[in-house]
Amino acid sequence: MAHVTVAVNESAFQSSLELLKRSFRFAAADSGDFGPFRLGYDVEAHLEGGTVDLRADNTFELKELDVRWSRLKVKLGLDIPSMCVGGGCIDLPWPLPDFCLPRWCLFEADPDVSIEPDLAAFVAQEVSLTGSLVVRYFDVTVPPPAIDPCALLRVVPPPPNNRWNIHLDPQTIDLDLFDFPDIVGNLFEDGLTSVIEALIPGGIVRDLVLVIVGSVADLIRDILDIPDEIDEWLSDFFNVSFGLHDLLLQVVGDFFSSCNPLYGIDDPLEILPATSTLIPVRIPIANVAVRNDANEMIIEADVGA
Amino acid sequence: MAFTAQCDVFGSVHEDGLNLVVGHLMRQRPSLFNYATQALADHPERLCEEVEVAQEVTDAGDPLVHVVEPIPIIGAAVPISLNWCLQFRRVAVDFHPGNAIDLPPELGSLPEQRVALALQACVGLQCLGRDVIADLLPGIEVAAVAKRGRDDRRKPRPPIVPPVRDRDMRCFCLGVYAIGHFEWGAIGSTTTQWLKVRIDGLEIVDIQPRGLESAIECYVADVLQLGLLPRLSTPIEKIALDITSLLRKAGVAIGRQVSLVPTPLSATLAHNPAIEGDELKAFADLVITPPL
Amino acid sequence: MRPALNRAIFAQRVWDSGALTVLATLVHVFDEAGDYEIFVRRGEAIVHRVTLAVGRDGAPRQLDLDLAALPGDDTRCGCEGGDGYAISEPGLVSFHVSRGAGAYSVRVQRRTERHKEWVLDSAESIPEGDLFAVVLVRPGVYAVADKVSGAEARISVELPRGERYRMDEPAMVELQKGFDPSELRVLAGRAVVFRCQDRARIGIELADETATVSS
Repeated sequence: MAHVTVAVNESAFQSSLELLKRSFRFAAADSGDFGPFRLGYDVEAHLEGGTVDLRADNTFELKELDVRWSRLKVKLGLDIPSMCVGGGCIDLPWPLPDFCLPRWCLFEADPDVSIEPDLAAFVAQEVSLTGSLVVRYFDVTVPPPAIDPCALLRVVPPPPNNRWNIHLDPQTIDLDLFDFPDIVGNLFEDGLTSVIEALIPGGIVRDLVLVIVGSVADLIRDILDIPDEIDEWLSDFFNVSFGLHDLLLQVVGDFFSSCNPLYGIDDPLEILPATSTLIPVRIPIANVAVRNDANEMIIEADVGA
Repeated sequence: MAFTAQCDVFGSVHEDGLNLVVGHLMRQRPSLFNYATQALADHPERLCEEVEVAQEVTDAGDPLVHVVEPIPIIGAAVPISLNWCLQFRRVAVDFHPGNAIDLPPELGSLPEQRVALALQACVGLQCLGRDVIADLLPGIEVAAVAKRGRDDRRKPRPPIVPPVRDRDMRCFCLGVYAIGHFEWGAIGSTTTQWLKVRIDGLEIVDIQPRGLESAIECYVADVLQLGLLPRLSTPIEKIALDITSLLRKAGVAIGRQVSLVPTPLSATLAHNPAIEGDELKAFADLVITPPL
Repeated sequence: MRPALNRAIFAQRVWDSGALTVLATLVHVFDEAGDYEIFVRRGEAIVHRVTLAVGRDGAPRQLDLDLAALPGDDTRCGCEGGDGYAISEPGLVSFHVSRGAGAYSVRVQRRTERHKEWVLDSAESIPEGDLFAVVLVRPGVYAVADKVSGAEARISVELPRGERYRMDEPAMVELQKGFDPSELRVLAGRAVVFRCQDRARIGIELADETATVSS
């Protein structure tokens, strides 16, 4: 029989997870130059909601955890193509060659415009994890890795002593893909229309520009070279090209599994603090094991000799 | 039934585990269990019993004994005091049902929700050799005669404490048995709840006459209740191996205070803490302020 | 980056083949092989001169000269060094002005072993066989006149709102004892090309700007 038994019920386990979850912050920024356009993002997310279910088969499930974006700025820069008048070729009778007329462009150089809408209010994703509880021993004498993946995710700094840590060990993590709604396309069109209108004076000049350019939506699609709607194109960029979905999945997994133990037991465990003249009293803890059933998490440990 | 059927957090320690803890405590804080005068503190080899000590205590230079005042020789015209020591050894606990400690008949069998405590109290008193007395006597006789018929209004001077030599100490050990229980309580104005040990009865075996046994029992009980046991009060978090320490730090990160409080007694929770099945059990609730 | 608008495109309302400005192009047909020299004037000053070899094997069939971008200024011709140009035979050289308010004219001289002769003096007239093109941007009605023959024509320029169309579809007008057609409707931003079967000096002017964007 174990010397010490500690149990935490499902409600307290839920509260424990909530305390940890509220410190989760994901921030990332990146950009790429794709020729006629440049696309970048600057995002920050946190977690809300979620319920944890301890299951009779010694596993847990964390479900309906929402990823909420406090900032999801997408910076789109476009090179407006040359807007020119004239041009074309005329067919002259043989033996004369055909003649191609010069063009006159409205701007002395191709203008570039950029918009940076914040789409945070329009995107939310759900995360769910299933897994089991595991015990890992933190040995303070082992040097930390050269690159610490937990540097930005750790809520509590590593301890100055050895410790038995109880971690969530997710076996499956499901995260919804980025799925921007239709309204995002409108936001982009409205934004670009505004910057283009600011670029050119009103009247005949703008009328001519709009004849050359067509609708702003057509212009965007031409520059971005997309057959789909902007919202679908943007979703693909986030999920695939930028790899933001996979990155977020990795970060959520690391946050709950390797970077932040839910519970920890110091080894040795201090039972009497030091005084001004006396060292503390510490007892060695050994053979720590963790399991759970549908009601509670149970930790068993022995006092070392 | 689930451990946490009536609470948020449950902690229990088996008597085997607690006995190991007591062993660590005695080796790492010997000055809680060994009391002696300065001369004996300076020469621990002359104590009644060898003090088992952990290496880290020696490395830190922590004291092996708690220094106490020597015992005066009553009536001496020149103040003279004797070295002495009191050492507690072989401390063991036995939770209900009592199956590891044989209690003396005076204490009866171990009641429910009670813990039995057994230990050895070893006492040593310096006995002055004839040669020491012969050295001291001339000065004492002079002082005794000089004081006749007068009140001595001078400030008393520090007593002479003869050094302890080999074979000066007269030692004996007594078997001490006690029955106690645990209860929760605050200490001072802090909000933390502490697990405290209370003595319900104490017996020292086979001292005659009865009055002497009774007096010594009373003194030992006072030493335990007023001296040793208050220093061993344990904050509630330690009962659960302090697993909430990370939660407290995570709580601080988001402006929350996390604490454990004993679960109130109810129809379904008759005892908290409870002693049963050779274990000490604690039932606590997790409190987060302000609530999540 | 907010680049500057090429305002001359919208400011120009009058064109003269004898004084080339923004949106106008003069095309000279070189149908005889030989050595030529091109002189470019802005106002009275010769700002550039360069040689042209016509009939060299493998040479391009069309050469475009932007008169506003040639080296040289009012004080010197910018003709130091350089290899000159070469085109095929027959070949075409176009002269146009990409920007600015300057008005240019071009003279071309043919040189043989024995003599030299002027084959083009745009300030005076467009020789038979050459072309003159103008891109009309502002909506309205334009009056066209040939000072040599006295022929006249009218061009209506429309800017339909909300309708996207190609700019690179020029309209052709033949000038031979009169403009054919003499009435023309074109969309704003497209070129109108006059093919001169007679010697000509063509002037165009925005006569009526009240005809604006059509719905």
